[in-house]
Amino acid sequence: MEIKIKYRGKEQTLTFEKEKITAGDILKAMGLSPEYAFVVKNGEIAQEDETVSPQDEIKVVNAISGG
Amino acid sequence: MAKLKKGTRCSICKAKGEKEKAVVFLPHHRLALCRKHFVSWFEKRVEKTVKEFRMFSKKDRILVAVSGGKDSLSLWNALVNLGYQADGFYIDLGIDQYSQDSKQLALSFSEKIDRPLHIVSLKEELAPIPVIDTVSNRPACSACGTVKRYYMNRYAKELGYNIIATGHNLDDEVAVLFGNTLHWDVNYLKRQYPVLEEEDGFVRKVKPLCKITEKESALYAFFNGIEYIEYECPFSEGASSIEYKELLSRLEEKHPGTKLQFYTNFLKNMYPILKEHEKKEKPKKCIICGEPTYADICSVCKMRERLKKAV
Repeated sequence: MEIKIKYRGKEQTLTFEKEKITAGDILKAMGLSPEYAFVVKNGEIAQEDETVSPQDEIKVVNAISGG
Repeated sequence: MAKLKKGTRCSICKAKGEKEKAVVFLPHHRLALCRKHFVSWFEKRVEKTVKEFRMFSKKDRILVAVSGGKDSLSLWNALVNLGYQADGFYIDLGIDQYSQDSKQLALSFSEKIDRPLHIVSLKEELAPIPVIDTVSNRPACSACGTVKRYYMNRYAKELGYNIIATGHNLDDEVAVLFGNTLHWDVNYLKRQYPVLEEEDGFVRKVKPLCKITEKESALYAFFNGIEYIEYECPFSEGASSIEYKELLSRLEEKHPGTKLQFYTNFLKNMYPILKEHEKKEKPKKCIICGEPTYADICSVCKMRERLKKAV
């Protein structure tokens, strides 16, 4: 399954082997911890076990900033 | 942050007999909150921090150092909502697209909350960061921090503000504390307090978000529809602070509350000891610009000299 996401102002596509994908799977695939990152699904915060489909508008927010 | 179980109700709504679903779980505070109560929890926590460290009152004129990022804009929003007199100050660092985008976001936010944003251009004052980076022998972030502190302090005085507030959050403070402890850098540890008092030419500096995590700050921005710059400054690539933050987050995942304890126990148990042994040196006036410095010539004037030689 392919999921399009928006991350730090850019669009990218994630490919998964399985058919049921959760917000937690997206964070995992991106190497991000729920400790500092979260998924927004169709404008609302998605919990880690919430399923996402290719039709959903997904944004991933990584709160860590450097400097 | 630990998982929020399906169907969990907001802790505050539950106490009031309401049934709103929780959208955020804060394990180190054992709180599950809905959108509305997370926003009010955040603002109350900021106000509590302001009062705990006696940072400022409603009479003070506060200048918020705005970068266009989530922390500074969330801080500005929270202070205005809490009824403080807080205006913004943005330094255009001249870092190509990054500066253009962050400036636009800071300006739009200033219009949205109807508070003035003072803008200073580093290109006009000294030189853009990419140019400073070519003549500086320090990492870009360090030189950038120096010039930001200098112009912030100088303009706060010129514009009549008596408080400078920065958006440093708990993760920033913990990462710096961790780095300074790894190196046992006592001189930096001595200065790691959320309030730096006003003294001979230095305006009082405060960090009201010092007990707010980076994720809480991003969530607050999200719930308030605050648009901020989401991509990193190109100069911050490979910054050790990011590595420390990721490392400390892994600890936090296993042991919620570690970061907050590391920081607050430092302030409570270690900082007073360090402070007691501090030999207080009084700042002098820079012989070139008159701004406070501990040397004869301040770091920014030294930088200007180096830039002149390089041309």
